[in-house]
Amino acid sequence: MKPCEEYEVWISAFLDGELSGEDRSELMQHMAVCQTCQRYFDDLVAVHDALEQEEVPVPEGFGPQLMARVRETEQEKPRKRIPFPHWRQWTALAACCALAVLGLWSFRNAQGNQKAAQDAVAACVPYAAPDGADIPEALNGSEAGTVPEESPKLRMANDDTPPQPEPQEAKLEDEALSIAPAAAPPAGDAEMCMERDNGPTVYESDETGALSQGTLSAGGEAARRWVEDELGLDWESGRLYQLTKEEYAGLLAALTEAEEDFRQEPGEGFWLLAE
Amino acid sequence: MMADELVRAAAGGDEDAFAQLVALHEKKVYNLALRMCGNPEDAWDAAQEAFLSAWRGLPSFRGEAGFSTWLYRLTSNAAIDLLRRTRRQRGEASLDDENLGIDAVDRTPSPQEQAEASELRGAVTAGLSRLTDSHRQALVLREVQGLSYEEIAAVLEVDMGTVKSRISRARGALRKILQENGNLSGYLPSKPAETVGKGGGR
Repeated sequence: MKPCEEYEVWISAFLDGELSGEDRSELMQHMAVCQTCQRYFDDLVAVHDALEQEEVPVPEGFGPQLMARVRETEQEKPRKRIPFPHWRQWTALAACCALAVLGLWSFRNAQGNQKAAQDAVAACVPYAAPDGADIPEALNGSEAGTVPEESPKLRMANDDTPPQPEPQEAKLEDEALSIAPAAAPPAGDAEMCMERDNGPTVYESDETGALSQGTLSAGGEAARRWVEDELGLDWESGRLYQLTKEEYAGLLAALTEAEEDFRQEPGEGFWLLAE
Repeated sequence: MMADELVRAAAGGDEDAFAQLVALHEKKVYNLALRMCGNPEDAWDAAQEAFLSAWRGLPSFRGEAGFSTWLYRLTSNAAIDLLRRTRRQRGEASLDDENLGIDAVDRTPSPQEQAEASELRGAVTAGLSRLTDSHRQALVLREVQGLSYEEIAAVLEVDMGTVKSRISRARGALRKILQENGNLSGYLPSKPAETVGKGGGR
């Protein structure tokens, strides 16, 4: 049986019609016996109803003022379409292979299990586009199809809003979503702990390349920002944050992109330990 | 002129075509900005900025299918930029200190359901302003704009799993705010739960 916190994500997706049939049946069965989740569902329905408000008309004078400003504003020159450099594809593939080899090495040392490393290699292959192939829109995220060369991250080419600064506003404190370190999930075994100083360790992944369960320990700037932005919680060193599977994967991607150090230890559930 | 022709013409500097695009999209853009910012003055500014950004960037834009998606992204970013500037001017602490526009709530359930619902709507609007920017953004795009998770993922340039967890976290946080303010106790949903679920949201 899943913890209720995982069903909360399902309840939210169910309200939006974004829950698959199988998960939906499981949710219904769970809600039939769980008062807490039933109450949560009722509350979200209430919030949903309250958010459902009619659109308000645009205030008078909006269009004329805007068009007056448009007439004084020059359009930017069209940006040239820059093909995705071939060397980037091979750099990405090389980086993936290097990680996979590291994972293979670590895993053989730890458990002598080759399957995870093979899976890791297989999971990397889609990142290398064939030579000369177009990069799909979904990957470059740009309707305009241009890739700003100066940006390390592929972003919307004609999204001319400046990069957003780190959020500084006060955050909603939500103690219910995290637990004290005393209630930590089972830590890795002694052998795994000895691996700690040797860099990230690749653990078992399933057929789809999904991550195994466990605890991710990190303490860098990207980790802090991720906790504030994605969880809406304050960062507290030593605190253990419970995550969903998607959040765990998202955090891992954020830390990898920021090239920030982190460690993973296998265990039940998905957790982040703030260092 | 068809919508894609308007986009192409506006991209070529045709101000009249752009004026027609504004007329087509201004209601959605303004309402998105209003729910993001929480007040008409900021919403006006954010919506104007979004359209001006669109005008400046149109020559590099290709593909009408994604025009509204692009416009929503510009609006959402403009609203966040504006909110951050405003918060910096007010000082960071003020967000916690002030009442955030939540009116004093009568904890005794009103006999009139209509009045209760209206009260809850006001509290939800105020509660929205206390969410983090990324949570509010995802929730507003879903609940107010009625976008699917896939569309929200395109607007925010994140994967669908992230959209799913952001919306869920946002709802959980909003629920907690409303509980703390006594807005959810004793509240009865206005319609049976099943009909909402089967309807797939909006």
